[in-house]
Amino acid sequence: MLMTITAEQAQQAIPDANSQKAAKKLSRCEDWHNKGASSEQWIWGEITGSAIYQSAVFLPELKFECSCPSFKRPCKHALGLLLCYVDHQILFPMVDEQPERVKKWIEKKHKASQKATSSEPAKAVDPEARAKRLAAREKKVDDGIGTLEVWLHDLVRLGLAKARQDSYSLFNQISTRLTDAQATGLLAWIEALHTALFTEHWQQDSLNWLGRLNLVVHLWQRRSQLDPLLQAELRQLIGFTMTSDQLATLPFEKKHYWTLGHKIGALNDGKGRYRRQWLWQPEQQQPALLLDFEIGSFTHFPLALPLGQLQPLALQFYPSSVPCRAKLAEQPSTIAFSNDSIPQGAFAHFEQALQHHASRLSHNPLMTQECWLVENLYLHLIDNRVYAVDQQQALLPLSIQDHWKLMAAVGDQAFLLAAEWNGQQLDVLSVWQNNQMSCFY
Amino acid sequence: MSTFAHELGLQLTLGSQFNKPLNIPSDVKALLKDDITEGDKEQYLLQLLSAWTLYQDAGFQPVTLSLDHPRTISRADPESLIVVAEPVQHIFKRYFAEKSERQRLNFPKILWTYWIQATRQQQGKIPNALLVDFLSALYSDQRADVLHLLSSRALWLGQHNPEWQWTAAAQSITLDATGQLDAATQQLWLSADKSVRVLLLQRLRQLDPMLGLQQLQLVWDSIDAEQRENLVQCLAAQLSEADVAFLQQVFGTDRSRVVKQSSAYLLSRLPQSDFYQQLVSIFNQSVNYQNSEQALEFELPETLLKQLKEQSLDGKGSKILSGNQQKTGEKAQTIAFLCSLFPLDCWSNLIADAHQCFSAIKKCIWADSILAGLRLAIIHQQRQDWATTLFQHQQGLLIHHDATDEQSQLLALLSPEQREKIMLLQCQNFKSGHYHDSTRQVWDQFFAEQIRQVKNLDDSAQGFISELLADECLTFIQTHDKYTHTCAWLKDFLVLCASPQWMNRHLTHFEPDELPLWHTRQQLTQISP
Repeated sequence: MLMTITAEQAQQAIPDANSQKAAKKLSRCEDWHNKGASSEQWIWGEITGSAIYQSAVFLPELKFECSCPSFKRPCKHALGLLLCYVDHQILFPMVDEQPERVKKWIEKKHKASQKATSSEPAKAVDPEARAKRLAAREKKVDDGIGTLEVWLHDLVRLGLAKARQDSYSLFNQISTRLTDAQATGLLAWIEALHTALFTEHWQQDSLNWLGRLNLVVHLWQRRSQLDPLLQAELRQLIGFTMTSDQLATLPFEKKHYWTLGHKIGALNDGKGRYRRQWLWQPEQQQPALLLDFEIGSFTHFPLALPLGQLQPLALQFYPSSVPCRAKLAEQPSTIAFSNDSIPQGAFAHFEQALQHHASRLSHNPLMTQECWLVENLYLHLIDNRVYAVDQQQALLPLSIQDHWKLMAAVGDQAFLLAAEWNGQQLDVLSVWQNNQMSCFY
Repeated sequence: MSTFAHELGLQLTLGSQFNKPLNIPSDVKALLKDDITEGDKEQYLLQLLSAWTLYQDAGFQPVTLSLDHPRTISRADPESLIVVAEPVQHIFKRYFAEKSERQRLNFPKILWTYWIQATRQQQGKIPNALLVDFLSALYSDQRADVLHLLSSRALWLGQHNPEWQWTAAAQSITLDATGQLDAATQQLWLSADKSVRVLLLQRLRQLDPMLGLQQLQLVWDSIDAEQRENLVQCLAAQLSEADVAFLQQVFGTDRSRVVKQSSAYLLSRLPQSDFYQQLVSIFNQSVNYQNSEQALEFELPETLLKQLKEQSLDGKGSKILSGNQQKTGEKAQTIAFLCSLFPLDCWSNLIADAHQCFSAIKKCIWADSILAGLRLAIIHQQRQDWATTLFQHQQGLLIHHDATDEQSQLLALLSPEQREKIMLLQCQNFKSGHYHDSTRQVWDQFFAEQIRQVKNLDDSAQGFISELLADECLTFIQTHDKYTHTCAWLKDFLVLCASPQWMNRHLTHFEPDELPLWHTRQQLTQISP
């Protein structure tokens, strides 16, 4: 049985507006000939452009292949084929015999997968050399964190008001220094501090980030005394990535998760995008985060999970005192779509959510945001700013690009909200009312 | 904690170099003592800040909303389930998702009308998910048409956005046992802004003309001239003898010239009014026809002019004459204004044959003024017979700069068959001459609709329409001029008239996305009756 791909999932595979426009033109079903699909989840077809081009897509990974000479990958033909499949899945018949070129692509993919999962390691890792490299890196990070500490002290000595008047070079210098020290994970926080200096409530916002940055310095310098899981969290935050063999050893467990929503944004350096997919485990009221990056034209987002669905997922959680970030141990194959389901296991009111958040913060003080699912909320508008009010009449500010759309979606009736809590406000991801889901990213 | 936070914030904002003493309350000190180690001043402040940040984050307290009566929360919202048929929703979702704001505003009015009609026939409401886009992009003169499509959610939304407050007029109007407005509607009428009042009065006049008049009288003294003008124009719906006294009073006593003029137009349609008799008298005094020479004379004696001036009937500020005609002087303005008021029966009584009447007018030295006024009189008095004669006399020419609204209103008086004839004549003129910007609106409004009513332009269609439109549409597509204003009617034509066979024959390289409206039309056709 072929995988169903939703329009939203296909949308995320399209890198830019030009590709989208071009692909859409080529998505008409009658333009595609010799369409077919295999039980290995490949689809293919032929389209006439300057010549006849053959395109194919491997659905579980949204891997695109095409015979056209374009340098841009994925090309418009392959994307067009995918869009055609999204609208007319039924028109792709299962066939036993694939065309020659498609066979080659399938073989190439097989070989690549075999190589990746090959039991014998390509190169034996020398633990001594690895430890030596790690020690050298830690030394570099030590130096970088030391510089950051001095920089923070200078900032406090001169005052935040002075920092607002200074040019960006003040922040640029420390960013460069942290890049040299291979502590690039902190660049986003430095940028956040700089941005916070110019917000409406700049004092409160910038103090918040200043306090967090100092906490990182404080914890790093005393890392040997930390709980190993918190230490692992700190290392990930600073920019130590886990190697593929370390990731492979992470345990996984299959549970049912709701896909609540996702948020796509630009990376600070402007060279790529991030995607946060938020999942919800209803029994334990725990969020899980699938974080993906797309850097230029080199890497692309993997297939997104369909929104608003409950499905069994095998997740491997990154080591942390409060496990949240995870990766899929295996791609779900087929999903039974249901359009009238409402996520379960929501918090009854904000107090419960905040207590939950406080408890998680006590284990992981480095946590900056997490996803909440809260039920029986209603909207309240004060000075053109929109708030969510819970059953206990407690009120929290909402952040959303166009609050009129949210108001039109839920009106003055109760709704269920999935949102990112960042300590200040709730960034709306999705809402449900009368079995209808509305997404806002 | 808040005093401490304030002091800490102040210290860090100013910088430690100012050496301002930091007073930490004893309870905070006790709370933080395990987290803070003494060091230099900056380190001490930073550590306090880190601890405070964490405590603040973990101990976040939401503000409690103070409401006198806590709201009861219910999951039931049956209104939101009443949505228009799925295909329509799908089309509009697709449309709003793909178009930029600029392109959205170019969404042809005729397609709006088409969609509104389809939704009405299905007794649907605007789906909640489309409300914001719909309300933002709707043309203001179509508000009255969509009131019955607004759900309670739309009304609720309108209460919160000043730009959409007009949606309040969609509230149901209920009458009490005595036939008067119930308290809620009465309150709405009294407190409404001008846009809501106009829409409400239009509805009231349809429901109960007398009640509408009563309600208007209720607020008349408290509203400004602009609102008085707009509201008095609403009385045109179901105008009757019962309105004479009020209109006569407005005409006689209102301070505003434009309000007086608006009431005068309505009175000119009511033979029972004194004003109507006065107009007949003025007509008889000023217009003479010499049957032998078939010549018409328009004379305004000085005494009459003075009298007209006193009554604000001199046409000042009426803007009936357009463009260069406005420079023709006060007398021309007065004649144009009077002719726009004269009951058309006066002309019929003077010259029985309407064609002869127009010929005579054309020979008169005040021909331009008289014809300009006459066109307006035909519109105000809703006379189809006169409109037909006018177009016959003009040989179907619509070209009349700066008066496209007027031309549209005149065309609207005709029967579909008559309109078709006029449009075809215009089409011939268009082919031999060139397309005039000033008539664009007329084309946009009628042309596509007209052809659609007569026939779909199929592959075998013969004659100049097919050739002309084929040429024009091909040029239109080839130049990719798809969003230009100059071809608005062509877009309409493609959306509403051309058959799929015709499109396939003539537009072989045509992509659906290059003409999304055509694609939309295909889908709309599938769901509309």
